[in-house]
Amino acid sequence: MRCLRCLVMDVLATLRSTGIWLTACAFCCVLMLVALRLEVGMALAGADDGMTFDVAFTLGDYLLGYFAGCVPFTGGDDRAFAPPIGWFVFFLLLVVGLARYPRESLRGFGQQVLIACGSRWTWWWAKCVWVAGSVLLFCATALLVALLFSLIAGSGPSWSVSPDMLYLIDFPWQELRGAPYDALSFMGAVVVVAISLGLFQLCLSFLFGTISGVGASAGLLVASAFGVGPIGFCAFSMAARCGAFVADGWLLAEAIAVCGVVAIASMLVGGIAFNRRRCFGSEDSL
Amino acid sequence: MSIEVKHVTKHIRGVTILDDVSLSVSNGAIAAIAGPNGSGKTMLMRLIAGLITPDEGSVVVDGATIGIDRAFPESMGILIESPQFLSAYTGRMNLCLLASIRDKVGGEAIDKVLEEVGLRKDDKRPFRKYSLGMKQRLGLAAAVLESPSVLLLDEPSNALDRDGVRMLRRLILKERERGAAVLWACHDRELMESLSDEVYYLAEGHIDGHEIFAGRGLS
Repeated sequence: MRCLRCLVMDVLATLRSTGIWLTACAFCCVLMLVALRLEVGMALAGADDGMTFDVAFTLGDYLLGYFAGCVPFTGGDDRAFAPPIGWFVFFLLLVVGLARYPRESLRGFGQQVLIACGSRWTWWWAKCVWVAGSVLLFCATALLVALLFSLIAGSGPSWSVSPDMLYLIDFPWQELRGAPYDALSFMGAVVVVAISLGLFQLCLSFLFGTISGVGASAGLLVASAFGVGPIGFCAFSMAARCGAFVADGWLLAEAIAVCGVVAIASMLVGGIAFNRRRCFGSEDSL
Repeated sequence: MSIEVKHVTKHIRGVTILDDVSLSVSNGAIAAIAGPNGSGKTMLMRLIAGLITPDEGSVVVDGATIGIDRAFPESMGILIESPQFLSAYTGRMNLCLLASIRDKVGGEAIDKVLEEVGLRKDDKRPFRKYSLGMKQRLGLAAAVLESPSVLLLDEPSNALDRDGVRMLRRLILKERERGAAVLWACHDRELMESLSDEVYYLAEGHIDGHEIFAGRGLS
């Protein structure tokens, strides 16, 4: 019960900053979707005469504007590594927004809340739930923007992705499975990755500090985009590596299993670190 | 004894902050810690509050060893550093939120304590609009709100005007009368000696002297 009350305190303490963060998220999402429309428009304009494309701009099509991602970088063909900008901006804004509050809240009033909680674990679980809840709000905001765009385009809230859309945005179409394509198949993984990334950073911020936590999360995002392997678990949120779109892609169960391990380990390691942590308040730099 | 600090030593990044410190405060007593800036007063209070743990020695509050039996003392009010609250909410709302965690006191008790510290319960201004003195008063109100058995006050007279200091004096004496163990630090030597039953003198992290004032219930 105290954990729940502590969580209410966290929500009230961050109402304003969360509002600003979600507004920034909506703004970035609008920019990404406008960029997607421009990219598709330019691709259509540059297409060979006689080729016809059928892109409805459904909700599923717009979600590719954030989460299309990229295939792992293999070098060769003199191609430089090009990180997926939309995907990177989305997750970077997510970790930046989550970075400050949990540690900052240990100062002043937060210390009174901590003592009133009676247990460091109670306080810590409340922060974990706050992170997960904030991530859900962030994802919901991005989804809402994409939904509004699809409604404006007149295509409605359909999760289906047009095959021509994949071709036009330079998706790794050589490796594509056959249609139909469904954005719902990777949206679940996006939420799971985002929550586990948020908890991973929460843990790092208590182990090494807020700035180091954000730096490590940004590094993890780059590593995830660049390569494959268990350390790059953020890549599970990319449609370009999703089994529903490409051959030999990951399955949702794999994403849930790996991200679940990351999330649980982060909560436990971070909680243990916090239990050993000194709470100085403004003399933290001592 | 309500507070027992037993041979506590604390090093932080190679610097000895507290060195074999022992002190005790019984219920219904006011003990002061005196010492120059950087002598370890605030750190000692944080240690008693459970915000940091000792490298050696132990802190026992109300019979429970802090960090072993309990993370924090069960019944404790603190005012360490300048008081900070949620800036967008009124003083009363802040106290309501804080009280809601333990759910021990209700609105009536909150209104009463606000009156005691000289704040208006119907003040609609958010905390960020409070003057320094009002913030300090609200910090004091939060510390005594749940009638704690242990009260830790670090420089509670900071930013208080003459009326505020009179209020502080009344408040501390009332807490002693109620049976709380009060440990406080104050730079105003006259105020400190006029209120305290005993004073521990802290210098460079160790207890340099201990004075008991006769006729105030301690011997």
